[in-house]
Amino acid sequence: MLKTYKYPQIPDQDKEGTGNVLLGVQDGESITPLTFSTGGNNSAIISFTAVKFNQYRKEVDRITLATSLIAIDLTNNIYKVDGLTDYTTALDNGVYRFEFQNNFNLWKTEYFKVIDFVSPPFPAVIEDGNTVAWYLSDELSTITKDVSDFVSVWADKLASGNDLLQAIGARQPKWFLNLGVLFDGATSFMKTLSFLYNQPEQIYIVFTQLSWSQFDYIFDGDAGDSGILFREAGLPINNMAVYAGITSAQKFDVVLTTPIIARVLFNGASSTFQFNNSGELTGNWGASNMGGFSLGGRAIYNTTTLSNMYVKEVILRDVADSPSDEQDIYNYLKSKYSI
Amino acid sequence: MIAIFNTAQRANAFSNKIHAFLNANRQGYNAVKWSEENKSDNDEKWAVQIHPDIDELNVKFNLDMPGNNENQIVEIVESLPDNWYNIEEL
Repeated sequence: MLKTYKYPQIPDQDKEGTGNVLLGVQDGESITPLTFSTGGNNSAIISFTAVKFNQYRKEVDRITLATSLIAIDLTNNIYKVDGLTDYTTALDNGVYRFEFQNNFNLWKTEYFKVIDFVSPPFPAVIEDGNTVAWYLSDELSTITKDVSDFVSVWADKLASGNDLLQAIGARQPKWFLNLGVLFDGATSFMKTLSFLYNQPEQIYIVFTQLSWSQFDYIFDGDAGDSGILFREAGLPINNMAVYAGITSAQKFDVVLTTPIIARVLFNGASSTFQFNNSGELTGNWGASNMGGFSLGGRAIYNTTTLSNMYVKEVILRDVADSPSDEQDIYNYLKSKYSI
Repeated sequence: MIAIFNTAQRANAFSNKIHAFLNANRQGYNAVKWSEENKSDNDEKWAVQIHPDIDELNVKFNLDMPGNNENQIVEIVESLPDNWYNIEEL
């Protein structure tokens, strides 16, 4: 699908443009209008043309475009191309230049390219500066593993340095294609170094629980019990809760061997906890700050807290996401993992 | 699987042998050591995780023979017994 580009500018009056514009904008973003001066040579625009060039900058085609959306301000000697219309949607891929002509002048813009715009496979909000770590099991450039796929480093995709580490061989989880990183419930565990991570802390995690035992920790912060998702004792066996000083009510959505998305927000009295799209819990589950992230068990290593699960992806944000941002991230995970 | 030893020294030696073996034989092995030993609550026994690649280690260490003279393994268990804890928690 062709997408829009910010319009190339006209570098100098009555001169050909020499730039090479390739500024993509995504759906829903505004298009920068092209405004240029007539220099007093006023008359209505009589042609608006996209001129196509080959790789040698030889003209190969001319496409006439509608002039009706070009605002003409004869008082101020300004032409302004409508900022809502994406003229490039009428163009095949290639190198172009716009030409505007009235009774006196011919204006030529910089060259620009029209290419297929491939939307990033994740919502832009993840890169809004509020993500403190993003771990993807399908991003092998971020995973350091040995020939048998035991993982020693699971790096933040955004290169914050908040990487999950495991320097003890027997505790390294194993990576599996399409399944995720396996925490075996016996020894596997990873943890970041401590970093600034205070409430509000919003955590998204996609995991597949493989077996149950009480007090299994899915994740924790840097200090023990500083922000956890865990399985409580007792029945039913899938009674999951969160805790940052106060234990939440339980939720019972996790099914063994079925991938699930957990959304946890530690934010004082406005904390939330949800699996997939089931009923969201809201409450106050304490004011502890995570200060880091542990995956697969309690922050202070303890074999009785280790979870047996695959982890596909984790997103850590230091903001209480707006409902729309949260929905964007949830939809991305839901679509990606067919949940 | 977990190998149980009577002394921390033997457990450490066993862990170090696994670490050395993996350093020499597993491409990309990236660890500072193989394990932190777990010990029983009365400190009488020590445990070391046996590597998941049990086949290659069986060849190397003959782990299917508990109590063998080389490694002084007294027992091999599937999971850590109750009331054992990790040294880091001390």
